Amino acid sequence: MSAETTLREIAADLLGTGKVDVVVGYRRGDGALVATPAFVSDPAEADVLVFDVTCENNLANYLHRLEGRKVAVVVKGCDERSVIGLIQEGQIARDDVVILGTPCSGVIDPEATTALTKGGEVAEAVQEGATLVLRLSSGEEVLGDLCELIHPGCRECSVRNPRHADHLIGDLVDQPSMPDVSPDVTRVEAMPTGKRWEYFQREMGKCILCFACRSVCPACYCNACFTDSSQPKWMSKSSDPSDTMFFHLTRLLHLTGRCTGCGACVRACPVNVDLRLYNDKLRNDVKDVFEFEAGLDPEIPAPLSCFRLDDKDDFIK
Amino acid sequence: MEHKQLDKASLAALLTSLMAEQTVFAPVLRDGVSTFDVLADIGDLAFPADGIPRVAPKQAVMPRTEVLFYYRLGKNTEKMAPPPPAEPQVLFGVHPCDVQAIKVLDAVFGAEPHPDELYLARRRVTTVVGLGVSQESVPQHRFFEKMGISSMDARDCDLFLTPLADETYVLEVLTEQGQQLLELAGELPCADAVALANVGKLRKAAEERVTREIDVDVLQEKLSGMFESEMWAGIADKCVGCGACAYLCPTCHCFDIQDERRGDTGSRVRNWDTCQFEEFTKHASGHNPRTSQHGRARQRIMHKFEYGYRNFGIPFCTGCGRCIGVCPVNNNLLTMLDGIRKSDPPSESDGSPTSPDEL
Repeated sequence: MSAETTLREIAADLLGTGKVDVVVGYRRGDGALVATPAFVSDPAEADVLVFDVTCENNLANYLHRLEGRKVAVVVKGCDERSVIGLIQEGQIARDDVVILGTPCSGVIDPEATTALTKGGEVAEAVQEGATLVLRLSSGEEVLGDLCELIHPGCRECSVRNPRHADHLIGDLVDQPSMPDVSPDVTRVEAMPTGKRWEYFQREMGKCILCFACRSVCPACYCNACFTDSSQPKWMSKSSDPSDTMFFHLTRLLHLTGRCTGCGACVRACPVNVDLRLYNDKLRNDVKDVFEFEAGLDPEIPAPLSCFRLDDKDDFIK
Repeated sequence: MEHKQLDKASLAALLTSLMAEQTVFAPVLRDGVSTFDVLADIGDLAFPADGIPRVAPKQAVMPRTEVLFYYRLGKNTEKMAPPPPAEPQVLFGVHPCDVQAIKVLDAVFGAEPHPDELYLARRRVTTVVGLGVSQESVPQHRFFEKMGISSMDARDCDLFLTPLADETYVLEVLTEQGQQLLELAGELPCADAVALANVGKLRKAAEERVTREIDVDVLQEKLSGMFESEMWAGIADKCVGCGACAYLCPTCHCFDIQDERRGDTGSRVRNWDTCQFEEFTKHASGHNPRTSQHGRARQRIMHKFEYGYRNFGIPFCTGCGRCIGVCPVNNNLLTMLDGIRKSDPPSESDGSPTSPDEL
């Protein structure tokens, strides 16, 4: 039975038996290479659910607004970490969430597929092992290597398989071993301070403050974000790079020890700000200093919400 | 009016002479993102295949941040100085749908009885060079042809550039301002008959692709009765409330006014803002009349196809499709418009706002 059939059957059963009020999953969006969030509350509509390499959204983002309802949510390994994080932070109750875990070898980057098809409209996309077969409207068939078509962040993913799923959808996938520190972080860390500052300024200079990164982030659930306060006005929203830097630095600090590295912010950014680099760096630091990785183990409290006598504390010299 | 002919070298020479005299904005590639921005080096010029850069020319005529005046605080708080005067600028290679988007901004900011002098001053020194695009099939999410705009439409441009298959260009001079700009570049040869015939063919073919499928009159009439429609909640279900659609939109023009103060002096500025943000409608009292995402989603559509069209006679949407392309959760304006078109006719009860709590 295909993973998709399993997903639909489980969803219909959960809804039909009243175990959940709504299933948050994906349905086909506009075009063969686009999936879009779906909220299914009628078991008869469970057939709209899909799961494949196009399902890029982190659906844990919707759990907060569905608080108080019984929800089943489709999560990839990375998204599942967000769910665990929300439970740990008391935002949702474990008993209110049914985790439908979908093993995933990476979601595709539309820019990579557009480059591959040279802009040709894709009528159908079928995954065959590690190859993505793209049938264009023109009739042409283009083969793509999935390793090259997936988002750069997915290439370095160390949680391809969910660990806490109530229902596992589909077979587990191979998990290649990954370097502890992302090569991009190592590259930028090696830059002289001045160059690093220039790089940071340049990246932040691209930001247009649309807040898509914040809006798609399951960990950014504050009802009132500091950016939205006018009394006091913590932050200006001008095009001055100091404002965009202030926004991102504050957001990064708020996410320290909480960011799970799902990459939703990177994918949502319309102007390709390299947010992954800074999130990765902070995650590496938290791992290094507190031996903690957000969302992996619900039993281990987050470093900023507990005190441990055996903390390394070696950043205090 | 005249038609000039250029090859790659003379186009570069033309741009060089323009860049020496004025700020030139053009499509450039910035870390993989096609952006209509200041052209610093001719080598950076990169027309996207469909002529529509992701970041629209809007920021050249409506900067993300604009100083309204400078002030000094004290016993007699005073306006110290007006903002710096607008400098002449060229928008080079603007897709016809983006030219029409600038016309929307012109209509809004130029409207009596309170024309926006800052905007108009900048517009007066802005020369628009349109870009003809002969791509036969545009990406699915672009729908300017359904909105009645052809990819070779030279309307409202000062100059219009058409790239031809042999890597030459025909530059049409359409206004006095365009003519004056060209004089900065010296003599250019006139286009020959073959090139002119090719432009004519491309224009005819482009016009044939214009379907005008989207009837804004129908949409406006339907929308006028849909304030209380259940459709909005459906649209807003998955909307995450970011501003990507509005900030990338070439016609969205809302702004927020803030003071940027350092010590006793400061500047009053306006920054881009959008109805998609919760605090957009927050009153000084703390009360917010538009608290739900469905109210915000509705406002965006209503402003474009109902209020804007009713007040100005032009839709506040040109079909560029950027909002569809950048939406992180694939909310699709075209699908929404289709839903509106197919909706039941308005009834008496669901006309205008009935609840003062939800605007």
